Parts: sequence; C-alpha cells; structure tokens
Amino acid sequence: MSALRLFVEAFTLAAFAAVVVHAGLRRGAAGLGFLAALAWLGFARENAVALAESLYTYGDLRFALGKAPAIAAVIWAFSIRVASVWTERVAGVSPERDAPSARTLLAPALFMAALAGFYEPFLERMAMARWEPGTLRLAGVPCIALVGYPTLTAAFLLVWSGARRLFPGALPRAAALAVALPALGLAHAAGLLALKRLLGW
Amino acid sequence: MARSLPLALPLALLAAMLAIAVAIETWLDGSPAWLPKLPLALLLVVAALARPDRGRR
Repeated sequence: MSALRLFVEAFTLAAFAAVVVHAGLRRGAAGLGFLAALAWLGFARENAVALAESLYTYGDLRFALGKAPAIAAVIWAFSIRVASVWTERVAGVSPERDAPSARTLLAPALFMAALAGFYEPFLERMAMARWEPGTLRLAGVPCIALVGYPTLTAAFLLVWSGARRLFPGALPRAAALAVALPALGLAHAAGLLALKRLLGW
Repeated sequence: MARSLPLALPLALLAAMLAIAVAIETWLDGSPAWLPKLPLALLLVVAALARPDRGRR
C-alpha cells in the first residue's frame, strides 16, 4: 500500500506540474498567476487544517509542504484550474478572466462537487486522508465535502475577480491576494467545521 | 507552441487520474466504487463531446 500511495503522490505532483506548464504556455503570466494564487490558498488552508487537526487528518505521505502533505497543498490549485478549463470548454466562459456570473461560479462549483465524489472515497481507501469518526456520508462521500469543495471554489473565484477589478497593477494585486487568500482558507475551514458541528454531519 | 496545446489537456490528466484510481481499487478490492465516481465521469464525457476549444483561449 505504501508503494501505491507513493505512486499516487508522485503522479499527482507530476500532473500539477504539467498543469502549471500548460497554463504558462497557453496563458502566460496571467495563467501562472491564477495557479500561484490557488497554490497559496491551498498551502495556507491545508497547513491550518493539519495544525488544528480538525475536519480530517492525513495518512503517512512522503512529500510535505510545511505541515501539510504536498499533494493536499497543491490539489486545490490543480482541481480548480481543471474546473476552470471544464467551464471554459463546456459553458464557453472563463472563470479566470470573465466577470463573476452564474455560469462562471456555478459551473466550476458543480464540477468540484463531482470531483469530491472521486477524491474523498479514494483518499480514504488509500489511507491518505481520514475524516473524523462519525462523519455523515452519501455513497461513501462525506456530505460536508460536497459543501466544502464548491464553496471554496466559488469564494476563491469571487476574491480573484475582486482583486483583478480593484487592483489593476500586478504588484498591488499580488499583495492583496497574499493577505486575502490565507484569510479565506482559514475562514473556510473554520466555517466548514462549524457547519459540520451545527448539522451533526 | 502555446496555442497548439489543447485547452482540454488538464481534463485528460484528470481522466488519467480517475482511470488510475479505478485500476487501483479494482486491484485492491476486486471492483472499484463506481457510484461516487459516476458524476465526474459524466462531466468528463460532456467535456469530451463539447466543441473543441470553444473558449477563447
């Protein structure tokens, strides 16, 4: 099992690297900036979850970024970029470039909810991540994850587009995102935990 | 070079990850957990059937 886990880790990190190269070649600095913002959000959020030992815990994984497994830190960036590409291909709008609308927010949110159905049972089967005991599940998927994936995606896209509108310059925008995204990640994790407790999920 | 890269390449990577997960679960358990993977598989099929590179870039 440990060899399988290592393979999954390595493949996921390689896939993330490929997505970074793809975004850089297709969209240049703008594409890389989108992924950098997402990676910063994922790094902050997953380290907060790991330090607080709330919501879920991680298995014995090889590669780490801070206190969180490397794949946990980068998987948000990989996944939300894939959700953005899916939205662009299927709905013809870009969540990265277009102003927020029902299509730019709901389409990637829908995709991320479906992604939770893939990731969560597989991570648990591989003993790579484990939700706290008693977590309510639907077809093996923690119900709270079906809330968490789409809400973090939509919230990030709102912050991203807001920063693009308010800060046209690259440096001020980067500074604003550097502060806002960890706050978003922490607030989202804390809010999700509170909602889970409130609903008894 | 940049424009020759298909927009959907990240979707192909995700499809490969899904296939790997199915293979691993089949190896470990005899059959994969199909039900939770079904929505994502359907969305990937929808993307495959969509007009190629419908987006601007």
